[in-house]
Amino acid sequence: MTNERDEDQAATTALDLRRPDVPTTLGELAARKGEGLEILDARVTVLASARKAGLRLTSPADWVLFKSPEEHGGQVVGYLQDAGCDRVRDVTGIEIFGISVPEKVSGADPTEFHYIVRGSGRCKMTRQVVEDMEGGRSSTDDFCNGKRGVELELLVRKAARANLDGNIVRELAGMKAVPVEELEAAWSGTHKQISQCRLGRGFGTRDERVGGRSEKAPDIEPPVCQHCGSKGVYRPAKNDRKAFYGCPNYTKHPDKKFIVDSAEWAAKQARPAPADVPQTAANRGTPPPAASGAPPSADDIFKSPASREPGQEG
Amino acid sequence: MLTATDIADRITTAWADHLTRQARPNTPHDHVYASAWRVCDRRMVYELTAPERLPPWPADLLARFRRGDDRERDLLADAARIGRDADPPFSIIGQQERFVLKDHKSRPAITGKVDARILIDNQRMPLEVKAWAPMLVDRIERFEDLFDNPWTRGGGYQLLAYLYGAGEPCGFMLLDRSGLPRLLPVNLEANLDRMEAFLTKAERVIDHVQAGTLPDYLEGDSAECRRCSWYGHTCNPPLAATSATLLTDPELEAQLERREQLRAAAVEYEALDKDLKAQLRGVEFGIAGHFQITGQWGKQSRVDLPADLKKQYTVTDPKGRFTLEITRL
Repeated sequence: MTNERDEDQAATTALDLRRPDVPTTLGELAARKGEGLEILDARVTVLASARKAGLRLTSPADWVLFKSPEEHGGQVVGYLQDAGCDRVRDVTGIEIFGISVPEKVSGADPTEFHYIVRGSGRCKMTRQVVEDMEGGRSSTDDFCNGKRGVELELLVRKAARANLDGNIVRELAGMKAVPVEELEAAWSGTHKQISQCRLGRGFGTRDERVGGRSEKAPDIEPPVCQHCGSKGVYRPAKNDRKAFYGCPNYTKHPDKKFIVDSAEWAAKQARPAPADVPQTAANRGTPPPAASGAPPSADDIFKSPASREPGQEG
Repeated sequence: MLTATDIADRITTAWADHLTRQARPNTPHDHVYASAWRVCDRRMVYELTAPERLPPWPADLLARFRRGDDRERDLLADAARIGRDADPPFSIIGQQERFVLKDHKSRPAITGKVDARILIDNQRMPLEVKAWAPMLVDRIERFEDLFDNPWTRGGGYQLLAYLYGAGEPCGFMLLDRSGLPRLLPVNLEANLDRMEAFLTKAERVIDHVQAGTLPDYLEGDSAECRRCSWYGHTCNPPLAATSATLLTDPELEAQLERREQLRAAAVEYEALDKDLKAQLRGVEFGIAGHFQITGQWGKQSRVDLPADLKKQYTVTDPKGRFTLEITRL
């Protein structure tokens, strides 16, 4: 038998338990039967929403994308960089504490050294704690180029702390390898796009990552994917597999394949293009359009539209 | 032979070198500069005891400092010329006068140099010139606005220290802008609590410097820590974090869901309602299809106050407005 006060207390507790930061056990939830499942569901929803809100706050510049080899599925995941971790930290309530004094590790060369700093973190939302995490940076890292003496020393030490903060946030918020699809879903309705993220390992050579062509690729214009319009990417021959061109955005249309044999494409490009525009009364006498890539002349721009009617495309 | 690009690069490098050579190194000092008010006491102690530990200012920043100095000189020269024909006339006097504020223990606590004074109507009012970034200046309409932004707050305390040191009740902050410069009047009495807090802070900091100790880490303001130039290499504070407020009431969740379902219809209704009311303004009785339209004129009172009077009676409540945005994730 329960009185009104007991029922009130039970209701309050059930409401409290929906918060993921209120400790509970599976046994405690199981004892509540159907309500337990509902509580569990509410906790999961809150955590998923917080994660999505955190991802939404990040910018494409905060992420580096990595791709697993094709033979392992070619999955693309995002790694949140230190600067982005700072944006996520407040949503998930990650606190950083117990910071050690930065420790210098000298290398063989006097200008080569590393700094390591340790610290712990806790997430107010999940109550998870990580202890004695490490952050470190080296004087040979790219950001140190051109820096010397005290300036270099301070820069490396500061970066080591930023790396520690980042490592703790990445660990507690699960931002080390975020599936690109999850990131895309979080950014829907914003101007942020996956294509604006930096590309890392798995996306070819350094040139290819910034939109250039692989050194191994033939010196010809690559084919264009008929499904999404992206320029094909050269994949060199490997074991028994021949070299081919594939779509860089094939994950967006997994059901529609785009694979062009490299040798066949090269042969096709070497042949002169057939004159597939039949001569008609309408175009007879009109100079052919400039070859793709060649800049139009001033005459092409200003004189040829003379016969064009107002509003007609030209 | 050098290409045009090479020449441009070399001139830019020479320019940067010239500015870097002229930069004065930071040296330890035993009192607080009037321009160096900081939220964090610990940061102020570092700035007094080990300023040389910070990396030198980059050339680009030195160029901006120099531009600020140039603007200050030009604005003061213009003000001096304008003052001759103004009504009442005024003049610019006492440029770069030094002042020292002592603490309760008679130690020099805050020092600085007043940019200039305006001599007008037998009053010698301190004037501080600032050439901040336009995006900062555009948000400043009153002296109080300086304290809303972490980048301009120090400037506010700086001018208050000048007024306090000079024993003048009023002064001015002259803000350089792309249009006419903005002259903000400052009343010391209205900001006396701020000035006293600055003086107390300076005293506390000097106590630590003399005792060779460090104040506690700043608490609860991790954004300030991340902005601080000592963060990471010299000062490694714990970082607190706010967290999203977790609202787990199922009724609230249901209300939010229902609101989302009605959103599209509500937007369409609002637009139509606004459009119809605009079309039908003045129709006192009408029939349209299946609808009857009735309207009625009513009285409306408004108070047309002169701008200066309106400003005088305008009170800003920092928590008077609350903007809520609900986004479905």
